[in-house]
Amino acid sequence: MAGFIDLYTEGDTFLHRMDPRVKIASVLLLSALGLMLSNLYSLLILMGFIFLLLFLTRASLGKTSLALKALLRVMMLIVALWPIFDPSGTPVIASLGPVTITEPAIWRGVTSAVRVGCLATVWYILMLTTSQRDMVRALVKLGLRFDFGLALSISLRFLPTFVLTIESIKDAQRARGLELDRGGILKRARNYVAVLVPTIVSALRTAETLSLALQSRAYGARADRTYLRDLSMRRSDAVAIAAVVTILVVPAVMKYMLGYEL
Amino acid sequence: MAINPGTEQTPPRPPKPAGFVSPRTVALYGILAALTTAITCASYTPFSPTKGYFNLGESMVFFSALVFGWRAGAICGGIGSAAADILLGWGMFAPLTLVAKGAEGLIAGTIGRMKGGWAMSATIALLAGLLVAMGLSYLTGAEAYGMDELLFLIMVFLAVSATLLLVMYLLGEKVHKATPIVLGIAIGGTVMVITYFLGEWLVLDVGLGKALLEVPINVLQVTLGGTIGALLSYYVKKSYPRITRM
Repeated sequence: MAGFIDLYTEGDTFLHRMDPRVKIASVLLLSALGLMLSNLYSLLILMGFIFLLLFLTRASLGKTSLALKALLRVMMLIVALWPIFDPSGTPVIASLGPVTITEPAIWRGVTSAVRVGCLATVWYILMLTTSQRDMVRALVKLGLRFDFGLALSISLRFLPTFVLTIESIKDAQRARGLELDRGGILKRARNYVAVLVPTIVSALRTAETLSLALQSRAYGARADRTYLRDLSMRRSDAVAIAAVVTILVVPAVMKYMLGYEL
Repeated sequence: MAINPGTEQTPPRPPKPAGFVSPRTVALYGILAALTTAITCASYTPFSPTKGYFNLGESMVFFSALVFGWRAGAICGGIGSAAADILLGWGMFAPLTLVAKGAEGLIAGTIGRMKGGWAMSATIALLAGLLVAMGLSYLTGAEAYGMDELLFLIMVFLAVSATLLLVMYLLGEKVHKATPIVLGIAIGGTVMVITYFLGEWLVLDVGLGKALLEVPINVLQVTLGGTIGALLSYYVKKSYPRITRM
């Protein structure tokens, strides 16, 4: 299961208890804020706020650091690559052939890296504190059609199963002499077909059984379906969404109406 | 007293009210999206130093599109790949992935399932000839060959188109079946690469350098994913013929 992790951790912080709809809306609003800000200092403040929230999720350090390590690599890459393609501004630090590296370009690279950091970390908070079940429920409540929500639930339910299926088929084919770790990338990819065909066929069989199961349980018998667990907004959720909207609106007004450099 | 069950029962409820897709579709779409995500995660190869994540998820997008049509390609490809992004910790790319891979599945499904024939092959040969002629005259200019502009255009056009048509004729009937598939994968893949490039550069603003770095990786991914996806659609149909009725 290379690279596959479910980020969700059980917990009882206020972020876990918050209505998932509010969390999804907040992630979108904070992302919009991140895309709107263009000043390094205001982005750093936003990043500080997001890291405070990340700390409050009380997620295990292992999961968080795993996620952040990959992110840090991308941020460093952005800082390293930005100045090469952006020769504008003065003073010029170094010049080598067609490549000119200037000081403002480096700062722009840092700014962009911080922005990417904000955008990524905000998603981690959602993933760390919301179970997949809650996420689908929230999406359905937000207007996703119920049948698509069900398809999404099914796919999330079967995901770990299929990852295991792939692993065991890989082992079975290796035992028959298939080499998946040898050769160039083309040959390796070509060999993957021997793993993918049985996987897909077994998955399609599952799909057929599943559609029978759905029919036998009267899926879609009534249009006005009821829910076992319903979502309800509490007062704290309203406060949270109001706070996030304020965090977005105040800098937006300052930037676009009062003319501050944010 | 004779019991007559027919008269006293309430009329049976219609099996499925309008508005919901059939259970078969729900199950199939859910499973296809899960497969896309699972294959993406299982073949996830971090590709340092870029964000590098090279994977075979692409092949499932093309497979769904080619076997089950553009709707399955767009929905399962888009949602499955976006879910993989989120689960692998790249949530901020998820909206972009949803659009890019969804469009890819949609286009590959639309074009890839067209009925190819002489008409399509001939159109492609003529279009390719036109493009090459215009490209050559733009790049080098007709004067380089000491010829009239129009004459040069017509000659290159005729040469390229005729060669392509001859090659198609020599390859036989099979080429007409393969043409829409290859074309669908190529156009869908191109759209995906361009969407990622523009999205990363303009929307996420990661810088031109980083966005450009992604392009060759994405091209490689489309090439491999497209090849494997086409192979898969052929092999799976062969080993599981019921698939055409799903």
